[in-house]
Amino acid sequence: MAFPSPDRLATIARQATVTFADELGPRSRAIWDAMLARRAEVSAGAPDYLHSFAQPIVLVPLWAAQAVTASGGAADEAMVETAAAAGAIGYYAVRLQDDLVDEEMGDPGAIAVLSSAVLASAQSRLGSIGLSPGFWRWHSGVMLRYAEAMQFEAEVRANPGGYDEAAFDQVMERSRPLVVPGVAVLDATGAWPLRSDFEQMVIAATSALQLINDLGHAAKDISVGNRTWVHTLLGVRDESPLTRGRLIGGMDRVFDQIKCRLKDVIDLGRDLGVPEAAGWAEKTERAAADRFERLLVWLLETPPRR
Amino acid sequence: MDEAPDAPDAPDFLNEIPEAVFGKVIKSRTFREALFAEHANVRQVLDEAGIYISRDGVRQLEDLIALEQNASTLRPLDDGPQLV
Repeated sequence: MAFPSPDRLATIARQATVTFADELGPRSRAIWDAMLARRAEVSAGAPDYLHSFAQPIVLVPLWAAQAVTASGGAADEAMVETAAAAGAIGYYAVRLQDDLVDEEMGDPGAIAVLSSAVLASAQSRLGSIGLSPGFWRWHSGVMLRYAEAMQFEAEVRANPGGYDEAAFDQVMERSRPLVVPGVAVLDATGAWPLRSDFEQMVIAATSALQLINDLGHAAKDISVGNRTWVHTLLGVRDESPLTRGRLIGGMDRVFDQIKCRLKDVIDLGRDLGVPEAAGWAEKTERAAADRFERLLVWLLETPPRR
Repeated sequence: MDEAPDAPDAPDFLNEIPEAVFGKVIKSRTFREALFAEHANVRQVLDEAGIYISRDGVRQLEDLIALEQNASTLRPLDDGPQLV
């Protein structure tokens, strides 16, 4: 069975979000557009779903379909496309909430109402591929853990001492909804037994991406009072500042953790018969190593600001 | 009234750090972990690595290590396509 290419799935995801935005009423559309405008402020252009550091939103359903095939089952093309589109829309529901919780962007009441509606719409699309009651019970648990993890992160990131690996893993529960479209494909094709390994693989991928992101934002996070596990790895404690010395001297420890999680993706990807996931992890590691070296060079060659 | 003299240009920091130090930091994890460890003795770490630089160079390196990293200086890493 030939599945849609990653490029095709990225196009479907972009089209699905545009079509979805057209369904919104004018007030909701204004909030949606403001959210997209904030994204565009950070970086220009259309969302790049296939960038080495992008969340594998469109790849997760594809990886699931490949795991299904490797285990002797059958997933169809339309199912993968529907799951990818639902994942793209669901991602923006979480994005709306994240912008509000992390950066206090938007009116809290309006965001709460709109993000719930966006999530319901994504779930409705996903449900069209035919999902079991067991899937929905599991899904409910994922969303409850997501809600708890968002609150937990707000608590621990305000701790001047930073937090440890166990807390990081707990925080990462907020990324578990990303696995939902993939698990939906597993459920719809009778491949539920693959769920546990599949979830672990995707969470390992999102954890690696989170560490890459947190390293890039280490200074910005400190300036807005947020602490992460990366700060702990860099040796930033209590009120001690983030110096160039701590960044340069501690980056290897962060990179070790990134590599460790990407190795989990590679190992689980091979176990599940999804070499593409292993390929994604290897590509992301090369890109992270390149970024790591560029950061080192930049930290050494940029004139210090006095 | 005399015009205020122009502010001196910011130093090109790459030129201030000897290539030997720069190259070692990029290539050797052991070296950078030793050099950038908390309370590291910069002169001693350099000596052990067989790198000999002036007293001014050592002081500049110590300044760099202690320099607080502000948010705006990491911005070049954020440039790029819009990530999801």
